[in-house]
Amino acid sequence: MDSYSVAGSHVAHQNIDGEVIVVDLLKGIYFSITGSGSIIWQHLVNGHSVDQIADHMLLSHDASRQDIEAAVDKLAKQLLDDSLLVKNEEGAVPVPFPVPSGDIVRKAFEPVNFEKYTDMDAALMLDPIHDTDESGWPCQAVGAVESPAGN
Amino acid sequence: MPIDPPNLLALKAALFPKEEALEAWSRLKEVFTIDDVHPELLALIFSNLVSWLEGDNLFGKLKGCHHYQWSKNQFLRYQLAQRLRLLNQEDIDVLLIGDAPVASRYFESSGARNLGHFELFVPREKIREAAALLERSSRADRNPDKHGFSISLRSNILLGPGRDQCLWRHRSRIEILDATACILDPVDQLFYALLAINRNAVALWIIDVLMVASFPELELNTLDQRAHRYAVTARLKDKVNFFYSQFQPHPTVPALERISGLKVDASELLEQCVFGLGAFSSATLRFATTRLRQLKKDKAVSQAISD
Repeated sequence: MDSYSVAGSHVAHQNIDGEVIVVDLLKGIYFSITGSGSIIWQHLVNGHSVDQIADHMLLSHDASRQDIEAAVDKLAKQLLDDSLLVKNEEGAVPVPFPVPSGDIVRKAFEPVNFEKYTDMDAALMLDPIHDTDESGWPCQAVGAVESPAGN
Repeated sequence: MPIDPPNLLALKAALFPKEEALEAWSRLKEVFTIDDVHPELLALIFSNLVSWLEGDNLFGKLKGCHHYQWSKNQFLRYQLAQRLRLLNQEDIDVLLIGDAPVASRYFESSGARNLGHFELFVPREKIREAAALLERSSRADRNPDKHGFSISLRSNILLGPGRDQCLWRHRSRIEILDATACILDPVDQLFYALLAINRNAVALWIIDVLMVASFPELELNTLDQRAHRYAVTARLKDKVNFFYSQFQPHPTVPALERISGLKVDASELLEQCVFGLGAFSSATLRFATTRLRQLKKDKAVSQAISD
């Protein structure tokens, strides 16, 4: 069973209120992972295998094991393809899953949303207020022109 | 420059507990536009209110400001770590001052505070070596100023012989990716934050001061002694008074109350008259321009102080 970890210090990531943002600092690529993807990301970087994650998430999500496993597997492959994760050597010990403090509240298994912005240099030239659409940076507004000053 | 009404409301939205913060945000949107607010405050408002702003018409813009700053900060940290590694390899101790330690240690999200400019404080006897290393790495880098990266090197902070030793003594170690550096302990960091006021960005200064002053590990009982030892009591009181004239924190902050009540030594007043400059010197070397010339100047300043 393969397990994974973050590819190196050039991959910065943070979970902000259910959205995981990841930047590959060497390639200059920005990723946003939402839906159930943010939970899956956390379990993956904690060193769990796809099977272990599917088993664990099945306890608290309303979905079939098959659907969960397919979503976890697909995200893990995408993250490997984009070199954000690397496979661990055999015997790596994962961070234990958190122990639920009370009764488990089951919730819907939200679809994984994985977005990728390949030109961070250009995105960082945008003015995050005026050059972006309503969903905010890094989504560029139609007609916005990048300027070196970011204005 | 006093804080204008939109930025005062933005400060409350960024710093106050939920109810008061939401009220300030709502008032801000009603009377002003986000163009009236410092962009860094928008990132901090997002950070403070993220769980309660779903459905807000400006949620996307606030989130964008935060994520933009977070992303930029990651690149800047990466560039900083590259420089620190060089200094680590040569066993040059580095004390990070300025924006980096404040952003790294005192803010919950690394997108909430712009990293901006890096200031490295190194022992005086190592400054030439450090300058040469950094200059070499800057030359080797195809784009050394990428994302606004800039770095300064300092060999002294406190005015007065031997006083900088105290800063080194109380330092704590942090890791920036795979490099290590030291930062000031919370009490010294609070003093530094208070005294390094930027009159053109008072709102941002208030945030820094508040974040450090509210830090749980700040040892209140060492404040008085340390302020007297550095001979900065009068200046600290002056800054705290200015702080309160601009912003009333909620709830009150014991560290600032304590500084406000400090007694100023006569010897400190005398010393200030002698030096005229105040206790924190501004012998900063900017790397972008005329490094060596400034290096000599810095040494001359330090020498003059020691003499």
